Amino acid sequence: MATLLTIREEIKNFCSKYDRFITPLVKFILALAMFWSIVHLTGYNDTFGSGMVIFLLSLVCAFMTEGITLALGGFVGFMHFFSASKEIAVVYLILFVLMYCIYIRFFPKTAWLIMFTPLFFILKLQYFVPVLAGMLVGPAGMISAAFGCIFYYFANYAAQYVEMMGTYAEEDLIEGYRFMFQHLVEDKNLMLTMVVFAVIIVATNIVYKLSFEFSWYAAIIVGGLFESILFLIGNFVLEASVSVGGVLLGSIVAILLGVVVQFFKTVVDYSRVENTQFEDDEYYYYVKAVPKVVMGKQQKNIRKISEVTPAVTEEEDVDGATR
Amino acid sequence: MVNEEKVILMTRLAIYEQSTGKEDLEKGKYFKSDYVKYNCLKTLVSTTVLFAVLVFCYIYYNIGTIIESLADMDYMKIAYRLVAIYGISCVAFMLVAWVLYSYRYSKAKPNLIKYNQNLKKLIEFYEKEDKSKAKKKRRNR
Repeated sequence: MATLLTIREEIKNFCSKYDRFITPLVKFILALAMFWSIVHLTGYNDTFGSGMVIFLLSLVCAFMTEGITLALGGFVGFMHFFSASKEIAVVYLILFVLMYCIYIRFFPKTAWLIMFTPLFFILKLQYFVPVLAGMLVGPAGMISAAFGCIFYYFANYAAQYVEMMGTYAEEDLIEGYRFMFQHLVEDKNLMLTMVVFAVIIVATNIVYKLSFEFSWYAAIIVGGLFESILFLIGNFVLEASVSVGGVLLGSIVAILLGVVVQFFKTVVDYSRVENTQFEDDEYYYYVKAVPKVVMGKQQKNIRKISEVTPAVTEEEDVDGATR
Repeated sequence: MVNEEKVILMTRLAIYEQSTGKEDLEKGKYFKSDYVKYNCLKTLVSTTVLFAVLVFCYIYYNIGTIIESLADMDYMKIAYRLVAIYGISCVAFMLVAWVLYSYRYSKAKPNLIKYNQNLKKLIEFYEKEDKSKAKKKRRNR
């Protein structure tokens, strides 16, 4: 445990010192992951599916705000759907406008949950989403997580429709918007996932904010356990087809990942090194403000406790003070 | 010579302006009531767009049945219903916006007060500097 804590402190200090490079790098990697998930789910447009375009867009997102990254992600998704079917692209656009008007306008800081929920679904880590949202976002994450789920299921149904377009003649084919709407409304798995996610986000967040010892870790375990129970009950009541084994395994993985995230959360919460520039009548100032946490070097106090004569103990204490 | 205390104050102000202060200072441009009203107005626009999109979707989805029953429709009743739904959704969204933006403004206010206090201190520094410079000039004469 002591080694882990030391590693965490070292990572924290490193991030704090090189924040200028690490923040854009992390943003770039996250944007790359988001674009990859979009291309993985759609992939109908060669231009917007090419590695080079995705790389360049991620590079742009590394220096942009979260809102612009979401808008670019939405645009890439739209271009893919537009290449496959214009009707589906319009439905997608409407969903995006509704999402913005209903929610993102009020809570723009929860946008990352919408961007990454499909990625978690692809990695089969979807059960981690509500636990993570409960820890980091709180009740405001309920609707964002629901929109993330909707976009994932939307992409899956769009893929089904595109496949149908290849096999059926145009006159036998149901209209794209009707197909998407019917399937999204009638999908019990989607409904169950959205409801359970919302409940777990609230439950995890309530326990997370309680003031007893280890409430953070208790919240993660409560979230994981409740999630598996609710999914199993919901599966039975709604007659949905969520895999029982997947739910149990997914909840265990969610708890483990939650514990890891909580352990390293302080790394993200670190106080940053600030580089500022200003001027007065006489000087230009280029100031680098380093938080004191970073400045303090690692100090180890080794105290040997053994049955020795008082004279020797005194000597050791003096050593310890000068070390 | 560089005044250490002044540099610390200026750095604190600059860090605040660059990080959390960006949003707070934006709010600080308005009185609370103006800020809330302005955001409620934006909410009204977005609710109108939302309502228009949803109505369009409904009509497009049920275009067949709507065309069939076009002659038998009670247009006044539909208009009343539309206006009522629009009104209710506007009121609901504006209420959410009112509570949310009032809360956000109140949360930003203590930080803005502290920022203004630091600014005042900085101004005092400059005034002191100006006075001491003026004294020096007089002595030199």
